[in-house]
Amino acid sequence: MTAARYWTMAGWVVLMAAAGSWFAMALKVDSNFSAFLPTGQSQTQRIFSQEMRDGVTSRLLLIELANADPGSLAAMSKAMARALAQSPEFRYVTNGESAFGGAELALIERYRYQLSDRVDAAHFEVAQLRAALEERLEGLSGGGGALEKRWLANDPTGETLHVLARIAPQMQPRRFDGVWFARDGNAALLVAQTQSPGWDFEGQKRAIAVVERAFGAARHEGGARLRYSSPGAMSVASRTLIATDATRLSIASIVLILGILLWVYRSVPVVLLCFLPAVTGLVAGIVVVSAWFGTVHGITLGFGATLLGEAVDYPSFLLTQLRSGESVSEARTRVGPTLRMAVLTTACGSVALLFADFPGLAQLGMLTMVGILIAGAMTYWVLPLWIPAAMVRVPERVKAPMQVPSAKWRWCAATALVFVVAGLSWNRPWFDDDVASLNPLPAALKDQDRELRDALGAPDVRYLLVVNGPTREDVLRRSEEMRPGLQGLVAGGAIRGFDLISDLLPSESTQAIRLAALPAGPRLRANLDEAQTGLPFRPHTFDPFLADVEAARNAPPLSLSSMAGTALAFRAESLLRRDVGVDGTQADGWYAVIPLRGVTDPAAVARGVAAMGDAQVRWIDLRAESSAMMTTFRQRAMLYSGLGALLIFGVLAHGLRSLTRAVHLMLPVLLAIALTAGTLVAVGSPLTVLHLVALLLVLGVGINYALFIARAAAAREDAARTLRTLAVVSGTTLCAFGMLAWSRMAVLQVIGSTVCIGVAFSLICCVLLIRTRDPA
Amino acid sequence: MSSNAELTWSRRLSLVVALIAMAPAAGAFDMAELMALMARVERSRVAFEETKQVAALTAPIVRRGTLRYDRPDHLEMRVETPYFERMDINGNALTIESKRGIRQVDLASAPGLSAWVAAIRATLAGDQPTLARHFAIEVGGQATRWTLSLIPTDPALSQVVSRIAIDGIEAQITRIEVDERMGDSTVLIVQTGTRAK
Repeated sequence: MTAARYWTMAGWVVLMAAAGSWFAMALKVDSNFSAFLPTGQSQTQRIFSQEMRDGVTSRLLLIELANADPGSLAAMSKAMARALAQSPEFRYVTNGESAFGGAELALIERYRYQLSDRVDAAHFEVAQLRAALEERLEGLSGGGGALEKRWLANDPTGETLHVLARIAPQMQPRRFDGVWFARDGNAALLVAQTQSPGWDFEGQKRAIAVVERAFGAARHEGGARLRYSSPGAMSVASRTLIATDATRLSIASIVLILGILLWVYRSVPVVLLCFLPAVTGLVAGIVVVSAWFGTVHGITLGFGATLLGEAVDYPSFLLTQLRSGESVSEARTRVGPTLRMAVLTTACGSVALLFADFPGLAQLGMLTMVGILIAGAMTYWVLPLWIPAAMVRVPERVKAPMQVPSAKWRWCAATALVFVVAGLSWNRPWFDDDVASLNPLPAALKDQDRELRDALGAPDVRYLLVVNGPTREDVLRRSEEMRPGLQGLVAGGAIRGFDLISDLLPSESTQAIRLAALPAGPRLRANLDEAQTGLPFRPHTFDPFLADVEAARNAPPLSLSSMAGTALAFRAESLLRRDVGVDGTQADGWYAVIPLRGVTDPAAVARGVAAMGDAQVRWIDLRAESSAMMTTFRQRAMLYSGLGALLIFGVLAHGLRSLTRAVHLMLPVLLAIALTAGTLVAVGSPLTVLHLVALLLVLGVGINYALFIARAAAAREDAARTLRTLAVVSGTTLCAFGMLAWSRMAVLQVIGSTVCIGVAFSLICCVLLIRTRDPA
Repeated sequence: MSSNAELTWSRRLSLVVALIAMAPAAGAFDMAELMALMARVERSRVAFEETKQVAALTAPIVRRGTLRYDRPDHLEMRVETPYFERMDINGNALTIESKRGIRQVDLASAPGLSAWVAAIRATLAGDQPTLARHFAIEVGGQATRWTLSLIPTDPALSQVVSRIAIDGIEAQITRIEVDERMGDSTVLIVQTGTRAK
């Protein structure tokens, strides 16, 4: 006995040390919150997920400076823009000083004949040239004279300005002193694009550090305030929150659980030994998850606290059943079968999570399953060796607190409970399929992000058109063909505007047609001379124009690589994208994203798209799309939960060797789950996938209670002791999950509150409905 | 005698000249005085003739019309010939109306333009802080005939404009000259006989 004790202890210490050193070397904590967003199956869903994960929008950092007078805010904005532009962490930064800077203007000017849709043979004939020159003359004399002069000599037909007007961002914030300000004029705004994608935690952290430093340097007086938001910044903030919440709540729940257990056992060594199975399970779970997935998500780690709350029950199930003078091994022999079933059923409940479509949930499932099994095994095989009987002195004074009422009364009470919950949840929405409510970020951060987006006139894109094609050229050509239809929608008032990739990057065939339409040098000179007759332009004024057209005739087409390094390249990158296959690898296809602005009549847009007659053009309402996606996932989650319940039922039927007894055990727990769901709906929080996950945990915990109540019913003299057991385990579970309910992270908070309600209902239902006397 | 008297006169004159020459610290016409002078004008309406020298053109463009100012921040430039154009500036809203249509510009969004507007409107308003925000200022002459020289410090405007010179008599602007970096210039002359009210 003692030899076995020392050997197991030595083995345990070695294993733990190994796991510890492995953590130190190989443990990678991931905080990309999109791990808690589903991966898509259809192409539309994949586009959605891809945009969320590493689209250009995931790199956008919105910055707000406030709480100083507008003049100094503008000066700070300019200083920060300069500092960020010099940092390698940022691809570009703009504060409105110029929507398009020098590099972008030069590029548009250089490729104006490839870019301008007005370029055709007639455009350079005498009549149109004459009209253009007269327009220039009038412009020169007018208020915009200086602007006209900038382009006069080399671009008298005004192609640069025409192209600029088409592709310049149409909605811009107001300005003060040349830089962007919020509508109320109290905050200066900047937009920066980070070098690293939003999911790259370390890169985002460096970028944010640069912002903070630049702000520190730009701030002259103390009062000014900095706010920023981006998927990356939110992921940094959320990791910090996860870390602080997990630490804070774990410590709080451990303290509470310790308190309860100390009160019960009155022995520090015993209480510490009670924690051992849970800690071992947690360590094993993290090792398995990070070996299987490569990384462990921060939220999965946060969930360790809940695992602790569940696994800490197993020693309690064993130790609180001790009769006086009985050794722990003897108690194990008595309680063992029930304990085994309790562990197996809980593990089965989490098996269902393994099949969840979110990597994050699958991790939770694996962590729980492994953790529970290891903790159970440790309780079953190791604890009896480690705890000498004399160490545990469970007070025998616990008595049944009240006379158990008759079966009739208990059925009445249960029925009344069902009616109350059903009545309260009647006519309320049962399910919430908004993907936003799954977002693990705290509401305050989400609100701040929305405020900054609103201020910048960059509201979340909801309506998109997507055009597919096998090649980039094909996608660009289709996009060009859509322009008349889209313009019709704008003219008809159905939409206010659109961003079309082919305005920024015409297809090569279109560019070739335009360049071919440019007249040869002598012909253009002759046309120009004739058009100029009688106008006061000095001779040779337009020689640069003649040279530019001649150069353009032999110029290469504008391509993505010629845009490299300018804001235009980032625009193009966000509008023209490579399709990503189901497995996340790059497929052959391309697609163009065409965001629609100010959609007032979605039905008209849908009709207009149908009228375009291109089967490759699809109209996507991102919100409807994501809801549909969530509905699918919820239905699958329900299916998996159902499978989990069936597995649990199988384990019960096998362990109890009776289908009827298994049904009698499960029914009260299922009723508790229905009541929990009804209560959540009644208090106005419709069910999401996360609630289903939490209900699955409740199923596992509830079955444990049912098992022990049924066992006590079978062996009558244990009734009071079982009541004590239930008081202890439900107390510790409520402490662990109750703490979680205080988390600022929606994920943890939902699971915490749902499990707490569920545990309460499970206790009530099991006590009310499980037969106190076994029929056998 | 007479020569003596002349001597006395010339002596007296030289004394006066010397006094005047020694006086500038006390009596020079400065920016504050000019601004105070201008700040007394409630509204004005004058006719103008504007001559633009543009390098690309063989002949200058001459435009005629009216300028109108209402305290504190309304400025209207109405061109009648050769092409009708109306620029109306009210607060930060600039409206440009021509036969090609009406265009609205938010001055706060166009730094170069707002500096240009400030040169004229802030001078008319006697608003020294606004002028100082956009220009390096120099004042010459006396209240009866002054010259205000404005060198743009605003980066957007200074790329295009090298200097704006405003001449005036008392609270009346008589001439505005805008010199551009590329050598072109615009001279706006206020027609005599039209006056500030």
